[in-house]
Amino acid sequence: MSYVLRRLAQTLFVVVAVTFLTSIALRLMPGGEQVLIGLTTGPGATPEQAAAKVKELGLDRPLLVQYFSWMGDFVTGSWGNTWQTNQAIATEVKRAMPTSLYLMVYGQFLALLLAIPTAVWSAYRQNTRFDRMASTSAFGMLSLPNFIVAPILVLIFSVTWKIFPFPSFYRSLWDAPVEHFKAFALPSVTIAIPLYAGYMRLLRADMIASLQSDFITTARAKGVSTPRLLFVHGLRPSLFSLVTSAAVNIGALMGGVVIVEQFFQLNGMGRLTVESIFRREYPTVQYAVVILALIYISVNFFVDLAYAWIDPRVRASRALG
Amino acid sequence: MNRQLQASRRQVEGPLLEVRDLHTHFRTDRGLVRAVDGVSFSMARGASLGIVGESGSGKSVLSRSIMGLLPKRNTERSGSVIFEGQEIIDLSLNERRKIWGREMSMIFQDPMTSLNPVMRIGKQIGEGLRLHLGMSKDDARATALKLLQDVRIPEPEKRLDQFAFELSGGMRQRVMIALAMSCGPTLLFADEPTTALDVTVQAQILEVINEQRRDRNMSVILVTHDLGVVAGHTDEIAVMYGGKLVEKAPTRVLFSNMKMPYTEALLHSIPKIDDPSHTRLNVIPGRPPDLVNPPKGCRFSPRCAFVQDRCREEEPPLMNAEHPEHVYACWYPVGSPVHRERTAQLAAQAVGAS
Amino acid sequence: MTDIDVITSENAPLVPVVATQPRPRKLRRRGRVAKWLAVSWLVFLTISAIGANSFPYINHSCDQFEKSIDCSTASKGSLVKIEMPPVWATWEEPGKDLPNQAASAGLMGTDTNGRDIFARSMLGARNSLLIAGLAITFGLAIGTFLGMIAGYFRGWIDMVIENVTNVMLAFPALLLIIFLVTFFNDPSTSSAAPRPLWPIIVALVLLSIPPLTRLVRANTIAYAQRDFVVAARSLGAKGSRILFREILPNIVPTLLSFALTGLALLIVAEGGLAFLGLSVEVPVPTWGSMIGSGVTPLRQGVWWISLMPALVMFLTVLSINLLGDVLAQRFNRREAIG
Repeated sequence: MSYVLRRLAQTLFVVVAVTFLTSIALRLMPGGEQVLIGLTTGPGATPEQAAAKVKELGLDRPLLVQYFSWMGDFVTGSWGNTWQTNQAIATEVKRAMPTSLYLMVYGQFLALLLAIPTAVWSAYRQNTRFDRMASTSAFGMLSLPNFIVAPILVLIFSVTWKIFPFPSFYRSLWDAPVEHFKAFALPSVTIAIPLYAGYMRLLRADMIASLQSDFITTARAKGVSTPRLLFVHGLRPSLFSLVTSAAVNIGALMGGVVIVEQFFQLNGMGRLTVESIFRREYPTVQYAVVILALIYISVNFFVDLAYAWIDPRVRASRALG
Repeated sequence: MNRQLQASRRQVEGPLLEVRDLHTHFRTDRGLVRAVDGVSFSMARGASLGIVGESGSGKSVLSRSIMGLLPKRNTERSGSVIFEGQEIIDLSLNERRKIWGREMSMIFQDPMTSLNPVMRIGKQIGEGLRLHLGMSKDDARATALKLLQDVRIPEPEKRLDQFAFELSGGMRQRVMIALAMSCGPTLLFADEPTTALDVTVQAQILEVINEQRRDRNMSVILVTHDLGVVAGHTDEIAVMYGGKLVEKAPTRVLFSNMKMPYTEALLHSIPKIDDPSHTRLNVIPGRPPDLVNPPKGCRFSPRCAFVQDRCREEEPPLMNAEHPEHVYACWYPVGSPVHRERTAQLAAQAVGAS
Repeated sequence: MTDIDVITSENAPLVPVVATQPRPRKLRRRGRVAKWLAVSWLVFLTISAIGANSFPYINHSCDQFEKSIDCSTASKGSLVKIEMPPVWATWEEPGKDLPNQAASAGLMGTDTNGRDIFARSMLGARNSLLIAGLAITFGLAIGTFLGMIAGYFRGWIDMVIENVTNVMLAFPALLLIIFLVTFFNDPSTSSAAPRPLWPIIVALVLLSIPPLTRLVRANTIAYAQRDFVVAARSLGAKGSRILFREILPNIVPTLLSFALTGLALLIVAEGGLAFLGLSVEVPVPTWGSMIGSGVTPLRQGVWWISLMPALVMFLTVLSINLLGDVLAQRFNRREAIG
């Protein structure tokens, strides 16, 4: 239990530090106030109008006060509106979140769906043609960043064979499922490719090590069938690295696939954050950063707990402190 | 296949296991490793056979080869293994799987690593029961409990839900035995079952194995390098060297009337507790033979203290000794004139030296 | 090789599931070929990058410009004919509205400004390699230092460093980069001069420190417990001496292979940022910006502006990854025996 409390304290510290640094960074960016004022009141604003605007937005208060005021607003849920377009920030975020979530889920799902069987079979049939092809192609995929993959996919599937739309028009899953999947198809594949490569290599390496353990021989000698041997006995002790990596990627994918979002023009959290930074929308950026940091940290936290469930030895050593 | 085996079970006549000219070779970078090079023997139902040899003698490969538990690639097996009247050497993997656990099973050397670390004990034992005997989850659990009681593990109910790392080495080995017994096999291979355990626990484990053997009328093949282990717990002993069977006899006969100089040397190398302190250990000089290029003639000849020219040229076949069940492979066995002469020579040298 | 080294019954691959015996000859030859291909590509690239302005083979088809340097960096006002790579041109049917090429087209064609893509790719190599190389070097230096003191001295130093690392990891990377890039490039100054390189280098350094620190820390902890360190300490060696003489030499192999992988990652990262327009500005080419500027033509089927630099980048990153992998395997093997 004390372990859990310790982790929570760490979490809190990290969240606070990250958000505080964010607000400092935002304020330090040059031209912030001028840009802001220029955008809100138009060029040629008089100094009095500028000062009034500054006061209105609360930007004349000391940094700490601003920070706590924004954080307080975040926690209470009264996020206010964007400064330039006067949209409710909450709405913007609510629009951006599902997109990012879909991308993340589809990408991870595709990657894991392909990676786990491939890795297991490669480890089982090590050094056969299948294994060599799978390993080589995974290695190649690691060298293909998403901004290279995306144009290629678009060239093939949107330009030459006009299957998928480009750019992707976001359609809700509930309204127009077919269009929804069509819109998300290429972006998800773009994301899934490097994920797949990483996962497959990780799991393959761990599986190879596990399959050489004695307890696999024991299970074999019991007459266990090959599928059961691989997936029940062999897979579970090999999942550590994969789970860690997948968990880290959840956080990374939510906020970091700006390139894919930008390229396919999907309005996800990454794009929202970046555009808000450019437009000096301080509160939006703050809240987006808080959300993303919270997601990242809580995922790590739950993965840590999951370790104990996957491997009972970890459970025991933790209990001992 | 299973049905056929069950039918022939009623065939009480005839040996349980017949191995004829079994060869097991591994293809490696260095060449073909002849780990088992023409081994033949047979074994009756309910008997216990000890297979003794040093590292590199091929004893572990032999037991796995009989069972068919070796990787397919780069392995060549030839010869014949007849189990309960059926040839099993050329069975497919699926057919072999049906035998493993059900008709034959194996206990392995290192109990620390031989149990699945993330699966509960009860579940591991029950796996075979549910797979081969089609038991329900509850039945399997109840049977697993009974098996644990049979192997005399303390607090058996508690163990069912524990993990391997929560048990000591001796307890883990008992679990392995219970696991191997679970589907009632007719033949049990025990591959160095006590090597990784404390001396005090060794005797207990061997007792448990023997108890199970008697209760179930099961045959046991006990593979070990330790003559002490086989001395008290086997009916018959087979000695292996360099991939070949060099001597086989009922236990008492072997110890009282051994023929192979190698067996004699093995026995002499065991330190005796009542020897005076600082007694020199009798070691067998040299190293185990190269299994890729074995020596011509008798494989033990480079290290034998009694070697003659004939040993280096011609490989001795298995010959019968006085006792009908005793075979050995040596041109100048213990008791022969050459051997007696040489022994006297060596004794004189030893006296002269000390 | 003694007799005991022969596969004995104890050491034989007795796992019936995985036959772990390698196929020695065939695999080794293939691996060797790949390794030399990677090295030769990288050497070629480096030489081209350094001499991008003056080497003859790079200035192919620059006759429409006066000075050779104009070929890759300048943009003439009027639109010059877009030219395809010569290989593909022969496959195109006449009558398509893609401009067909003259024999003077460059190896990789030209972009919308008529600049030779091959030449620009080589120049872009210079920038990408320079940025990524400097970033990984500094990141390595700082990360190693932090990781070693955290792993060796433990205690509160370790706690501080670990929390700082956590914060750095949780901090949104893009925010950091945008912040650094805009902070040092006041939009009020003229945008005619190209942006300096070092803000993005600093950003990449800061991004590469946390994983490096973690790696070095884990390795340091592992080595610090080994007997030879205890022995050194018992002889009176100071902490810093132990760190540099005993621990550091052991970590270096792991670091080297990680450095190569990190280099590849940073090249990709820089490419991604350039793609978004956050790296150095035109007219200085980097691979990312070239790929980015080629997306619009892509939608009309003009693919080489985007995909040729992509190919160059892919080959480079692949080569670096391969070498990093080879290094990692070689050092792993040694570690297992020793």
